[in-house]
Amino acid sequence: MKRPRLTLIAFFIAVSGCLAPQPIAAQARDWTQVPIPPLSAFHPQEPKLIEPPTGMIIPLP
Amino acid sequence: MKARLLTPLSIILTLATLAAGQDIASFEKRITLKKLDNGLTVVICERPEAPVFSFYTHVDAGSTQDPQNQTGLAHMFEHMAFKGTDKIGTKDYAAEKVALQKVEVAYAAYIQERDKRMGRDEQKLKQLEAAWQAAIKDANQYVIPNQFSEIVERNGGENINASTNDDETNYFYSLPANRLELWAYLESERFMHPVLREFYKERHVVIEERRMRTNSNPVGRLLEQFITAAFQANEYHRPTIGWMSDLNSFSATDAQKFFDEYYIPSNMVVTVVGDVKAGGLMPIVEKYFGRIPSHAKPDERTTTEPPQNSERRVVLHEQSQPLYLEGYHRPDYRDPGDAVYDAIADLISEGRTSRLYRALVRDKKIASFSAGFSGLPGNKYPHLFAFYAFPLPGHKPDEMAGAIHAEIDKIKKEDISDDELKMIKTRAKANLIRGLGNNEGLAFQLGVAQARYDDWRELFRQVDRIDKITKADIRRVAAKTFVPENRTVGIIETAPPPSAEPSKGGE
Repeated sequence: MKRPRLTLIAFFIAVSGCLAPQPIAAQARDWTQVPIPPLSAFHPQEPKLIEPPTGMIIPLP
Repeated sequence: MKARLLTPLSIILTLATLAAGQDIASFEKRITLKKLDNGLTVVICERPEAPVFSFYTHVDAGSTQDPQNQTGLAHMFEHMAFKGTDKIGTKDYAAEKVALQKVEVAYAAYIQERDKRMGRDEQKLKQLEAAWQAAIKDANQYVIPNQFSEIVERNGGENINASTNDDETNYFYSLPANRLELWAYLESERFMHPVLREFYKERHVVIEERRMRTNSNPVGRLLEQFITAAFQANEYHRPTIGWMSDLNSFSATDAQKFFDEYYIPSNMVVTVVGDVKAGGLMPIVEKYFGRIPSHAKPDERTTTEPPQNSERRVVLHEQSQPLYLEGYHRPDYRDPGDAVYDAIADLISEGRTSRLYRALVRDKKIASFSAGFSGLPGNKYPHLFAFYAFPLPGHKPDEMAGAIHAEIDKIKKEDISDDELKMIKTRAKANLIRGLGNNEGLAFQLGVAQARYDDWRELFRQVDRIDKITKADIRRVAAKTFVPENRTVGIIETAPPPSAEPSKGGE
């Protein structure tokens, strides 16, 4: 009787650990401890080019 | 000819492109607003065009909240907010804390002796001043100067600064998008654990600022005396920079009390605009800013300025360019006529088609510049709508008065033209769009609208209100406001060169 109970408890502990909301990382106590992720890739939006008959090119963001 | 048409065409196309998506509906999708449990308001606007963000921390306290005999304290605290925290800017905070307490004890003893009305002991005063200076020297050994700003700049920070006016104090800078958590740490620590180190050194910086902008500047002197004359009861009569005797008296302890009363979450709005995701940023903001203890919002009462019933005049005789300035009391920004005042300011001041430019500069050729504007000295409380003109050589301030009054009379008595009304409305929209052009401008405007109206959407509704203005509205508001008994006049008359007399001493 004891074994299954322990297994069940262990199972519930394991499951509850997985299902519990992920805790937010602890507050940094010093500015040097604040995590800095890499800067995501920057893909600037291509401007739309308007070319009137005069030959001038007008880039519109 | 075709080429000439292209410039206005390209401007229209650019504005049209910018305007698309610059309305409430498009911002609703990108803005997240949350009031944290401690009362702090957070506004997040997602604008992922470039991997950067800007923020504004708006504190609903300006020089209007300066305590009696402590004018300049709101501005002084703004300077102190760059001095670091108990973890930034110090070599050993435990020892520094004790040293700073000793500075305050020594300063209190010095001030008590200095300000005795009777029986001041000059010898004792010198000893007390020396003891205070020695305590400052001792505290300074623990300081790491400018560390707060250096951390921001080392992490790619741009335009780190702050501003204080009569109505509010704002703190701002921009960072790369991957520094969001660092920003949340720095900004929350700054307002949780500020350390007022180097206070008396920074007080000297502020005193120099006053000497430079007001005492040594004829226009600064005129403005200060003009505002003091126009406001006799309301707190607007006190200069934001502070009176010299107050600057020479208040202490770090006074600044800490000001901070404790006004720098509380319910009195602050933090706005972040840029390459951020509200879903990711809000938990970070809650984690750091949520630590700041909550307090009830401070008392918002101010003294109501009684109606003015006769003209007031301030005339300065200075060896400088002459200047004519006049102001009329008007209601605060919540007044239904607020947009009408904006329309009048636009009509008389915007560009070379404006009425004051055309009349005083182009046609009469009596002034180098002339304009009018609302918001003097602030706009949170009833304030002034002002007109001014710089006379050209050979012309006197009184001529400016006559020409300005002739233009005011036209606005009061005659409808403006259809073209003028259309221009005002078009420019209101263009000005709004221009103001939203960068993250910093948008963060500032959203933050102020949220703080003032408790709704950031009001930023966009002001344009709708201007759109509804009629010619009759302009005549009605002008006729009610621009009357002689509601007027305060400020004049700089050019004084002759000095004789051999000693110069006037400053403060």
